Amino acid sequence: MTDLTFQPDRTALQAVGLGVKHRRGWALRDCSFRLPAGRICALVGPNGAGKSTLLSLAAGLRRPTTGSLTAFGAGPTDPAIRPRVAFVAQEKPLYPHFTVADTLRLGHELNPGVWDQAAAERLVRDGGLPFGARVGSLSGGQRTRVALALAFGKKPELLLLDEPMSDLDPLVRHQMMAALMAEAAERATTVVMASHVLAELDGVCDYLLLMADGQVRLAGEVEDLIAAHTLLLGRHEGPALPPELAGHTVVESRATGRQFSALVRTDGPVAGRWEATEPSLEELLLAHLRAPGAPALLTPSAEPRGAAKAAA
Amino acid sequence: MSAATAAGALSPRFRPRGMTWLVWRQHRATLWSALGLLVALVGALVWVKFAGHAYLDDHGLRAGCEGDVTCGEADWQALSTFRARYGDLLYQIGWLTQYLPWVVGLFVAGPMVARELESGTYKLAWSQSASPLRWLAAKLATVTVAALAGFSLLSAVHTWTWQSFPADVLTAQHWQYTFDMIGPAPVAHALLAIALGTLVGLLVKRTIVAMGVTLVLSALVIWALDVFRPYVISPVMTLYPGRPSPPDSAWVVERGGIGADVGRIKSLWCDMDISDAQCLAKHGLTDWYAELHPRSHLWPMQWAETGILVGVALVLAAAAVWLLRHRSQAPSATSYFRKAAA
Repeated sequence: MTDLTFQPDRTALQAVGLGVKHRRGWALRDCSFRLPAGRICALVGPNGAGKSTLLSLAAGLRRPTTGSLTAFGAGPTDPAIRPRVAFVAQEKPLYPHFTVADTLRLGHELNPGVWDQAAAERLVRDGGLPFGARVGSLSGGQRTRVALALAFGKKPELLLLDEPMSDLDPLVRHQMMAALMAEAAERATTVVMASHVLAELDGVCDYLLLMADGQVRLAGEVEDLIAAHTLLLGRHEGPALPPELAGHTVVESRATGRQFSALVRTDGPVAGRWEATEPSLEELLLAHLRAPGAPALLTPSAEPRGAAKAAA
Repeated sequence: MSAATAAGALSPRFRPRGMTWLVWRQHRATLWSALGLLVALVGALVWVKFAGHAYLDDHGLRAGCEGDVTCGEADWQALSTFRARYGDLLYQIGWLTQYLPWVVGLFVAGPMVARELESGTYKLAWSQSASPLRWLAAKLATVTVAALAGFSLLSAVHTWTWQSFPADVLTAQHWQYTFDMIGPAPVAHALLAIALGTLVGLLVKRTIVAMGVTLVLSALVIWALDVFRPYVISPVMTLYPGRPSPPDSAWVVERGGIGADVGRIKSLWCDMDISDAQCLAKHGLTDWYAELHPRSHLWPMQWAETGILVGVALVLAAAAVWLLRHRSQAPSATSYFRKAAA
């Protein structure tokens, strides 16, 4: 990593008391977190957790009901912020009657001063897409490529991707992820990537935002979050938790016969005979997805900063 | 190559840029079709004007002919042919001039606004560098400029052709019957329809439903215009000794009998065998009356209606802008305050 990519003091995205109310209830409620600039952040959560709502707020497509969300210290709808943020929505909306070339022309026309035609064309060419093809005639994967090319061409400082790889085959997914990471590394782009595919996040993302029921459950560096948890294996019988775990936060526990396993946020050493291992990212995520009631955990870098200033 | 580059080569100075380019690229087929229709209609009107007058000159009907006194059998025949050949075409084009503005409103509501919200492409447009307001402004500006230019030309040429024929020649096309087809009225209707379509499109967010709602609302507006139009400018009250016999060129709003004690009785009806005076006396009335707009009211009425409709259109457009801001922009100061207090 270069110096550019690690900017712990710059804030790419910050939410304070963020809430969005739909007709049927709250899609986001009292969300507070901070995403430092230069991070590749995984946005994880079950369907309906509020991931897409959060991304569309950050993209300046809608406004929050309560609280505030800022990108680089200003509202996402600020005219100075819009050129710095790119967003690819989940359904990859594109004008079906436009050709691929028209779509890139759209990027050129609507992003004066920031548009990088070469970067956009490179991604399209790598996929072997004809520039004269109508977008409506492309396959799902090809449409994703065009949508990503449009986002890349904007040279964003903050790139928001909602389920970007969902309709790509594994080979293309790998290729696109590599292209994405190369672009991000080159420009120190902050990336927020919502995804269901937990495996594709491991090794790619260094930051994590886990949401459930419209609230933030986990936020922070992947390494720190993993280090804060321990996977315990041991013998225990009965429905109650082992008394040795009383002083610790048990995220999730499972018993199979006398075999007992638990994901625990340890507060000091655990008494008793336990086999303690560090959980993988996938184990950490799955345990939290299965136990949405676990208390939220934000690492220090994910705590909102200067909330009063952000509100101004 | 494409039509866009062809247009660009045609007039490089007016090549659309930015959001305007997007609107142009999205709707260029419709805009070209509209331009083609406009050229055809204007061409037809010019043909009606010159060919129609040549026909009238050939048959010595330049000033028309008035009633049975000066109209011979051959004149009637020629007039009938004139009306079938030129008059009907003029009226049909006038009918299009009257209703096409409302079609523009349907187009704005459905394909222009609601379709983007329905298909999600608005997310693409809004997540570039320009704001949602710019997106809406570009759409409104493009369609408004096109409609202003198109309907001004169409209505002007239609009015020019219509006015050039004596009223007696086209008895079915007196000004009160062609009010919506001439002068600034079609332009004002187009502006109102565009603003209405924009607001409905933003509210309804479904292409077909938005067009349906706009159609129903347009029909209501057309009905309301028919009902209230005669009262935008006060009609002239005229008293008659006998049954009112206003000229064909007058737009009669109301007629009947009037008396100091009884007031007005509209649509006064008496048996055939009593005289007009007896009829009045029977109901305790003193005079016959008609409230009417003389031909001289045409342009004052047109401009009064235009002023009102443009005002309403501005209010609707402002509501559309407010709605879009409310949905997409940063929260108002109050919710910041609420959060700061929390």
